[in-house]
Amino acid sequence: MKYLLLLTSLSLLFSCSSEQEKANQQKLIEYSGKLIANQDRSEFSSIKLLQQYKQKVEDSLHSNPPILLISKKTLPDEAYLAQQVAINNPEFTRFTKHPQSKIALRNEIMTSRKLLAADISTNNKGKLKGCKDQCYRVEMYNFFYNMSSVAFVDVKNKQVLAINTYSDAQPDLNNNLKNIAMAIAKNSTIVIKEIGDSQINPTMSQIKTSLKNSRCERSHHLCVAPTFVIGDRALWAIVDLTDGDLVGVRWTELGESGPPIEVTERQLENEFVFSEFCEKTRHFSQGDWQFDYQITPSDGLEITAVRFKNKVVMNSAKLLDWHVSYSTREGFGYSDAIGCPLFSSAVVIAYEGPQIKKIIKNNQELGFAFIQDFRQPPWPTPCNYRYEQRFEFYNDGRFRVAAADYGRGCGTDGTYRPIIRMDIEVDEKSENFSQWNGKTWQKWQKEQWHLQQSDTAYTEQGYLFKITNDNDSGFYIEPNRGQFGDGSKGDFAFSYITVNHANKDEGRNDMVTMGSCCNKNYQQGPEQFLTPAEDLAQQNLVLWYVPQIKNNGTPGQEYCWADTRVENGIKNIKVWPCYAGPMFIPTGL
Amino acid sequence: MKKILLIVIVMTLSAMAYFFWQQQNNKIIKTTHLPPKFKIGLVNGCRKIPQFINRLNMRQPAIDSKQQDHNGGLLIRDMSNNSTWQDESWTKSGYLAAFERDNKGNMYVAPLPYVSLTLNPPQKQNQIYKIDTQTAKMDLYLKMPSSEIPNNKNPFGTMGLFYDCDTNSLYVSSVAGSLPKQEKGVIYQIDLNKNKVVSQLKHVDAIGVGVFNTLKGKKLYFGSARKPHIYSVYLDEKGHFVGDKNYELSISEIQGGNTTVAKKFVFSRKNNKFIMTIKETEFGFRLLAENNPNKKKYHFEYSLADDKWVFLAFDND
Repeated sequence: MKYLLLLTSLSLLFSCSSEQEKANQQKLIEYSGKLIANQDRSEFSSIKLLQQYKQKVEDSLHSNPPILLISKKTLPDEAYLAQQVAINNPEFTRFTKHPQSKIALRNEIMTSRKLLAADISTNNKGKLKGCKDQCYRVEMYNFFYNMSSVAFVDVKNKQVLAINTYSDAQPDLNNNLKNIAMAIAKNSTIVIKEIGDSQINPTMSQIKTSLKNSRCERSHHLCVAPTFVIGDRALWAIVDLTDGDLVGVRWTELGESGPPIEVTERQLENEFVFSEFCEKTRHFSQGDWQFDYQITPSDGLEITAVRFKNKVVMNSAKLLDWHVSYSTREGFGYSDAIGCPLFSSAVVIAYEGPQIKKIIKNNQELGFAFIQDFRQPPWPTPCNYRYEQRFEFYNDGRFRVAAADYGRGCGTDGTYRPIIRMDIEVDEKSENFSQWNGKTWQKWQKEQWHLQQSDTAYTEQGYLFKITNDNDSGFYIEPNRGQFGDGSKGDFAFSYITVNHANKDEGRNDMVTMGSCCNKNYQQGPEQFLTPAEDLAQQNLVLWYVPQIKNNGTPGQEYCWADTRVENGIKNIKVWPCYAGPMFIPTGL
Repeated sequence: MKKILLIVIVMTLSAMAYFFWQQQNNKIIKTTHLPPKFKIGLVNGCRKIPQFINRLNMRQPAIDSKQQDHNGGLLIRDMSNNSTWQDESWTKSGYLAAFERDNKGNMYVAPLPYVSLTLNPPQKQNQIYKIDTQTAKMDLYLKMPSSEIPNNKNPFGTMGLFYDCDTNSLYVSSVAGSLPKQEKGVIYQIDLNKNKVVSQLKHVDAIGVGVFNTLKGKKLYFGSARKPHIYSVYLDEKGHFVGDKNYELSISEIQGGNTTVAKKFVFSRKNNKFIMTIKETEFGFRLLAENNPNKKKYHFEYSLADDKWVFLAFDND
């Protein structure tokens, strides 16, 4: 069975895609198997229960303390009283506002019930000594911190006896959230596709449903999995209650005994990306462009056999490593490989497949960008990284191989150096590489490198190099100097030209390591392939490009940076990406 | 006549098959017949502090394998003033997964790539190093007897280490050569008297390993490298593996537990109770960059009544 996945639905631009583009999208996202990672997160906005809940959440953010309570109608009197006693306790409500900004955070009472014997542990035994029928347990969940607080309340004396807090822990849901989770699952088109239209309605009798525990380990959101048991299989629908949407679904077999089965966000994302984009090479075409692509073990997303109007213009483009060094700590930094989330030598990994965005300038659609995101799971906490590969394809035959860093790294003194390898194809046997020296194009005779500096000469159009065949057809190369309108401040790149040997692997296959993290000079890795320098005459060539991007965390000047903010009471990550990478402009092709 | 002969052959083969099956069962059952000097509880109490550490004259020496903010390998850290010491030979291992001590104070180290493969090339990952108790020099001790070589799709080899005083054995887990749909990992028993592998548990991808003498016999516990599950396998009086693995528990099933894997087992005795502490890590057969601020340690108490580990609590690691 085949399933369709709309990977790019996050982009508003895509809401007005043409039919042709939709067909192209389907080519990109069609896959088979038992995994589905849902990206269409707007389909639940019409669920009335969810609409009402969102309104209540918004109201709670304006109340004091900012806590969404369990309504009086649904709680016995004493349980309601216990809830009131708990929320009037300053210790219990300590984390309900942001400690610095004092902005209200999203909090919700999940349970208010009589104390059970199992609630008494060695930690609280002393404080709960006198408890009989008058003691209650009140549980509150903080959506910002992904934290649970538990108050033990003596309703007879209207007193809080003990409070425990649990970081990165989620309590059992209240009935309202359980109903919302079920509604999201039942209204999801991918769930309906899986178990059939006729059976997915609230009155179904032949299907048992239950709510299983699940985790969203990456988003740190409140997640649960309504599970539909059909025969000897179960469909897990992971629902994200922080955002009010579906993360994805997965079928599992129902074993009679043995270890517990669990489906979580991380597992779903890892298995999906690995099976669909790491184990397979896919083909993509749009307009006059077409290419193959695959996420590699440690060289990021590689696009191969790139064709414009059926002519190969690039055999391969990939990003081997991100070198990160810190100026105030000599020799300190990392060589981050990007790639597959499982069975790889990457440390910064793909959570999902590629996305596509239209490139629009002055209301004109100029082309499209093919984008792959890589993250280190705890990003944007300090010393964790997020990178992007971005390939831009223009209707006029131009293309750009770019990369971006999204912070946050280990400090504000960081320099990022992505190692980009491009096998541009202008001729199979004889390619020429020339540099503009201010007056004329000067042909490089031997393998060498060049550093783009403030006094580097460019043509009027901003071109620095050109790679051409013997008929002078090929591409001009325009380094990024901040002219591409993406907020960039320039590449300051090292460029290397090496001979492309058919019988020697100089980076064609996945490379486990590529140079040192912390060299500040041309020794970023590609130099190993130009020592000793070979003649370039009558050779097929490879261009290596290593931009140098200095980050900035100063408020108002952020660059290669990310920060966590409060928005609607939950975490919102604000990013200041820094883009780098050259543009290729066709000439005579 | 031919028919009779055929019946006799079939009966003989059946009898032989039954005999060998019984022998196998007996071998498993034998684990419950405990050896004369068998003592329930900890098995690594004989481990010694390395001699070279004593000579460092540190006030509060600690073995630091956290490998953060330095270029990898083991460090000896004086907790009283945070000064550190490292023998120059210790960089051989690159970053490391685990370390263990034996009854003479020798140390054993398993390498593990951290962030990149620069200091931990795949071909040098399925082996362990020994640090001499006297000289502090690190040398290659043993390459695991496997044809599987770590590579860019699975750059890992040896992972967990645990020493058993009863049999002078070092247990080593390795995931070398494992594939997405094939568990090719092995847990090795190394006899430290013979300096060689004497028993193997195959087709098991494990990270943390630990040995404990239970009511029913000696057991090796291990954390799956693929799931948050803990398994065990019986060991005989020589420390050899006996029978198949058994599922014990899952840390994701604990209220507040994670979907991580067990990277280390620590057994201890407190107030006459045996405690098992499990440290977790996130592992997906890709490079590690362990900086999760919510990493946990899970504590269990051994219940003598029903031969089970009962969850007590967790705290931050």
